[in-house]
Amino acid sequence: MTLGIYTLQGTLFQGHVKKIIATTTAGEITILDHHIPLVARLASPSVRLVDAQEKETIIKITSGVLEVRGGSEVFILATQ
Amino acid sequence: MPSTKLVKQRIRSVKNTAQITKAMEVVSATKMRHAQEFALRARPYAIASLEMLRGLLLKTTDLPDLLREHSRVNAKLILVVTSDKGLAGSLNANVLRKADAWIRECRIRNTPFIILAVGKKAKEYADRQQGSLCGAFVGFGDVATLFETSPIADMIVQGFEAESWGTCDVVYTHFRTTLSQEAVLRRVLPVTRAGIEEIVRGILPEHGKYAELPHGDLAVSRYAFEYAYEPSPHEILDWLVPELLRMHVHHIILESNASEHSARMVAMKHATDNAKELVSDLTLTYNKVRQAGITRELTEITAGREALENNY
Repeated sequence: MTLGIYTLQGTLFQGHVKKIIATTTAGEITILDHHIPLVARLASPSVRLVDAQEKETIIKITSGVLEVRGGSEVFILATQ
Repeated sequence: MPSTKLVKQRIRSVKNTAQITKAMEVVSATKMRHAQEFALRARPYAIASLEMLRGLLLKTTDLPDLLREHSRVNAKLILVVTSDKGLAGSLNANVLRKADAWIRECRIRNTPFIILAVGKKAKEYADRQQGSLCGAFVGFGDVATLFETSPIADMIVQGFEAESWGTCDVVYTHFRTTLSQEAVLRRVLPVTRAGIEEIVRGILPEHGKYAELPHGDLAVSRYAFEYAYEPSPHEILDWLVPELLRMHVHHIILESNASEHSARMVAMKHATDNAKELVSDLTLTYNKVRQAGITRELTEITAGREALENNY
């Protein structure tokens, strides 16, 4: 799926990932391809991304909103 | 006729001035480009947040307070954004004229008003308006960070929540293109969808280097299908709306900054052109004075010779 993580000061990540592991205000969720459309509030400390080569990237955020759109597109608006 | 020495001195001083204004022009041009690039970084965020807001507004009727007008509170807040430094043509004068009109209207209608000033020129102006200044922010760098601009947005929100003011307007310089900026009056609070759309559009100049965008279309309707909200649309809006306001204020300050540099660039270009014209005029005067001197000396010599010849 394609993912974009944006803040007001710039783009933190843009590209393809296999898996997104994020902490929402209700608990931890993992997003894979074909997830249902969802809007969720994110909490600190970070969003973890796993790409096709199983490489993990950790992006620190303090708060944010995650949106899964149809067509496996994910947007994250974050503050750092 | 002035002496050649005096004219020469003037030419030298005008040339020095031209050199300084030329340098300022180049510096402003670079700073302006930098400021524009910086402002553009917020664009993907702005587009995504706008689309999200649209979807959320369709799903909930229970709006956060920031989206609603206080009907009870009469007082109005105005945020006046100017530069810290002068030498930028009529940039600040235009903003202050707009602010003046706004204040005059308030006085006529007997509405209490409060001024929040950003920039030294705005602060000086607000100080002259008897006791209605509630705060001033000065000394932002050329590229203000979110860390610096957030306190302004937070202050606006706090006052709104405490019912110190019912609406917030802003006067600032909108960066239309490199060569034209205009002072505009916009509503910041309560936050409206049209207002947010305006910011997203405003992030790009109308023409010029950064005007093109690959995904410029804002009218996308992705919200036709069902969304899951976690925890609820209302709580997400509670986070999103203050965030949008922060974005709005941040952008206004960046845009004013880009406008300041571009206005200064144009003002300095005019100054350099005028100085060059003056130098050419003065050079002409200098040549005339020098020639007049030579002619006079020649006449004197010839006259002297003739007088001598007549004696013999």
